[in-house]
Amino acid sequence: MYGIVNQAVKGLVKENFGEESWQKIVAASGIESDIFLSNESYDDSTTYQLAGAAAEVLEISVPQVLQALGEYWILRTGLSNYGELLKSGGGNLREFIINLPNFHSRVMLMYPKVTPPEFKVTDETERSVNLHYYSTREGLADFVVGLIHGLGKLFETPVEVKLLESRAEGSDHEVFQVNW
Amino acid sequence: MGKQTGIGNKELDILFPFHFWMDKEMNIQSVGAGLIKLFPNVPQGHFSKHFRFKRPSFGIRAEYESILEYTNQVIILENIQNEGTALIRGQVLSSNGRLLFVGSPWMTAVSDLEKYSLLVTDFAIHDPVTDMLQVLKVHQMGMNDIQVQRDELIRKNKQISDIARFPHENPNAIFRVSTKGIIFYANKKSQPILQFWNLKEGRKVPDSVALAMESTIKNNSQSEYEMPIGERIFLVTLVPFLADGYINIYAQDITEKRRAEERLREREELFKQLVEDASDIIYRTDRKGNFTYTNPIANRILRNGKNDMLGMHYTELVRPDWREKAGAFYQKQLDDDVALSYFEFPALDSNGDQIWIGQNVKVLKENDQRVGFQAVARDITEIKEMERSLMEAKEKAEESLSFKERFLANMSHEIRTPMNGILGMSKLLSTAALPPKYERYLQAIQSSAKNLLVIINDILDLSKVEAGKLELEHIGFKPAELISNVIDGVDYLAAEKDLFISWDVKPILSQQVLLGDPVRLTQVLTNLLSNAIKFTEKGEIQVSCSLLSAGDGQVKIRFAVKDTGIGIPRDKLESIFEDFKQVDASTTRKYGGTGLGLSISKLLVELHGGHIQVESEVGRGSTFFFDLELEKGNEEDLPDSHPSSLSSYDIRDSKVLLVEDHNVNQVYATSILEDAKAYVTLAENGKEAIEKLQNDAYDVVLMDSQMPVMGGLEATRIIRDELKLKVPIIALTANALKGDRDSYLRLGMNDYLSKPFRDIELISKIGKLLGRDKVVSSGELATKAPEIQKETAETGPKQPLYNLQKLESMSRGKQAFVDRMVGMFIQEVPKSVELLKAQQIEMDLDVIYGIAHKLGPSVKMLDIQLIIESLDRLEEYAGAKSHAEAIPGLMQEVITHCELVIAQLKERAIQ
Repeated sequence: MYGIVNQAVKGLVKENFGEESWQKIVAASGIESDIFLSNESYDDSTTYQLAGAAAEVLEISVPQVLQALGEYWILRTGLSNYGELLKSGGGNLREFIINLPNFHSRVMLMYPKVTPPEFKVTDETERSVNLHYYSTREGLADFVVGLIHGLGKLFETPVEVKLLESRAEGSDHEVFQVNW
Repeated sequence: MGKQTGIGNKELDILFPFHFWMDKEMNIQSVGAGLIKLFPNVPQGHFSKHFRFKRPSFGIRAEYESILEYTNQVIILENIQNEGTALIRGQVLSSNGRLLFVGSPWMTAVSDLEKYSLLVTDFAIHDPVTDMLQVLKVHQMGMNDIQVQRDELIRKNKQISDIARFPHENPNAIFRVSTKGIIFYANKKSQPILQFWNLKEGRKVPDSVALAMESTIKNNSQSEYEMPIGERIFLVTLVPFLADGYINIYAQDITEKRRAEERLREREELFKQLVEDASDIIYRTDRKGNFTYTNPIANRILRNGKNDMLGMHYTELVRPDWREKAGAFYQKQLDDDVALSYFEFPALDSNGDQIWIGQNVKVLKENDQRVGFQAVARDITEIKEMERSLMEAKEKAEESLSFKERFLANMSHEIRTPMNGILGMSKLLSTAALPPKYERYLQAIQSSAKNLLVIINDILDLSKVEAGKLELEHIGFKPAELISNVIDGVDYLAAEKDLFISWDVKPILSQQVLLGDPVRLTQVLTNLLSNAIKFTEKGEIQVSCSLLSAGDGQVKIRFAVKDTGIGIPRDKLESIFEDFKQVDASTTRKYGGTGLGLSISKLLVELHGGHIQVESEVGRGSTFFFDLELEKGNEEDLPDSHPSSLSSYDIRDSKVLLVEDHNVNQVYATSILEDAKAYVTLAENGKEAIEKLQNDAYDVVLMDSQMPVMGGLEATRIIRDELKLKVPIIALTANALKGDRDSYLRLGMNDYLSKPFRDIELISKIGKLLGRDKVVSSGELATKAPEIQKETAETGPKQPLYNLQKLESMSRGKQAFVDRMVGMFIQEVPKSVELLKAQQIEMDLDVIYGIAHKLGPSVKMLDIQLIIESLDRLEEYAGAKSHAEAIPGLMQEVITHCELVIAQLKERAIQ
């Protein structure tokens, strides 16, 4: 994963729990350095270690960490780094979600070392879509939930996310029903 | 639903060189020039033969209907035959039942162009791919820069965190405080202080610290102060960095140091108190010996309380005549590198009074360098005084002990010398025929003399044993013979009391030779037997020697003397062996004796390794016995000349120099030697002897020890050391105590004979020394003489006032002896007479006594009967200073008769 993800974890923790908590998490995670370059690829394990350590130090669950990270990713990372670009992804929540597959296809080309997840939108209505999430990585579904909530906040559109299918239940991918 | 376009294939190829057309069956129909260049085999065949969907990858199928759903999505294709080559990114649209794909190869680096053999001209002019490659390149370069800086940052971070350990892990508390007093750094060790202050980083320091900071800021220089934190004390150092707006504060916990200092101070106070209150003098000096510290007692004892010794040199206190000695002593301590020494010396206090000081001095060192001395000293004046008194007492005691020894030696000499005369003369006299009355007198004289000799010997023996100077002989003897001789010696005593002595020596012992000291054993048995006789009135006395056990070369035997006498009470059985102890005082009165016999016997038996014991019953008798373990010997161990043996030596023609000052002894020895046909020359003292030896040669010298002018020891020394003469010298001495054989031999004498000696002993000594042959005489010397003299006695002249009978019998037929004795009388007696005459006016009774005493033996020897009694009375009265009225008459009587006798003797000499 690119350093920007780890950077997001760092930012999330430091902003919400302070430097001290972050140092504790760094110490608990066992990573060598907490300096991350946004556009450099890091081993996935770094991110998993940080998430695990954060859950441990902050005494919350890993899904909670990931959901928080998802929101943070949109509202802080995305906005501060790609502000206008992000907003250009769609005029509203619906457009943005529908554009998600293209967005990730482009990301894949722009960041050749990244294996970004793949999204597909079906069952579009005016106030809902089914968002299909395909990923080679395990356990990041909660991150997606956080992302959607973050998007809802970005577009000031209260949103509900419902997991319809999941790999844990035998499906080959997760399907979220997003209502707003 | 496809999008419609109005341009032809040629224009399409210009605008989209990487496009291709497919029919509804997905067969590729027309391909752009660029795509052909990239994938030369693409122009023919089914889509799925050449491409696979990279994105979207889920849900899309290679079917016309499926693809129509993705016309609003980015499509990324991957060439199947050229896997890993450029991806084609584009979009699909349908036109007239056909599908048109337009796109461009996607590359991630400029170098990909070359890799795929593409040129910029292969791309449509509007296509931004090649420009994006440039952007990518720039981005990559930026990334590289960032990575380098990131690595540097990590390295620096590590360095910083390492350096940060100095403050952070510092064992002292460290704060950084803004000049406004806000704590913005506090290390680990400072946490307890912050807790005590109830502060955190970011808060303001307490007022006390703020106050210190104020002055630090004002002076812009480092400052220090001590700060209590609870029970602990910190040394706080403030270092200002005003340009940066902060002050570093370092706080070191010095509690333990302060406590240690306090303890040290207390201990110093304690030691100081100990030293100051000490009853001993304690001082220190520097290396040169100048005082650097003196305690109060030192000042009190040495300076009458004045504290004026500091800087003074220690020798100034030492009594002047001891300074050199003291200096040398301490120099030696330094030279020999002795850590601690003890020295005593007389010191003078500030009044000049003498005090003896005994001091222990330790060399003080620092880093192995001598820096001075430390002394603990004490006033030992009283001890010294006591020592001196003790030494004097010891010297006195030793003097008195040595006086006792000298007294014994002198007494021994003084008594033995006349005893020699008495015994010798009485022996000579006993060979003459005497009227029975005089024989009894003579026997009484001999018996008394012998008893006296026994007492003297007893006293000397006891002294010798007590002084550890008595050594036993280790020579052969036969027990049977020994007992027989002992009985012979005392038989006459038993006979006097009609007692019978029986003896019982086991046959196995009768001829056995044993090794021991027969003389001492004889002494013991004689003593026991004498006692038995003394304390037995009737019955018999048994002497026995029995064998208790026999081993290899050894026997254990028991000697016992049993009597039927008065016995000894049970409670006295122990004490009778003590010196001068008898059963009770009445014993001494009734039986006589010194009470030394048994204690000497006990000691002698113990020297032999035995233990004397007694069994007794009052009124029935006593048995004294002792057991001895003795080595077996053989005939060869028996001494050459047995004292009782009749064998002697032939010493005829030998030239003997007799050095003797005592008249009687001169006569006695001369008569023995002349009888043995030796030539005798007389010297009165050592000096005369030396003169004679210088002028003449002698075979042997008989040397008395104590003589006027020059004694025998001095003479011997001169003979040996100065005259270098090897002539044999036999000491004739009455010095029985100190006169041990060894000491005489050490002086260069060859042998030794103790007075009184027997004729045979003297001859044997000379014969042995001269290597003369042994002869067997027919009996005691001159045994024939008495017979001749007896006849003479009966027919002898009666007319003269004197009687030579006694003298002649002593001479054993030698007229020369008689003549010499007479000559001596004529020479010596007139002198005494003249002196006596002088005293008729002077009347000094002591002098008169002395003259009478001296005349006595001469008068008695010439048997001048008329004045023997008068002379005895004169001696008695003068000595007792009594009967003063009778003395002048007695004196006149003696003078008259002596002059008459002298006249008669002179007349006889002329005849």
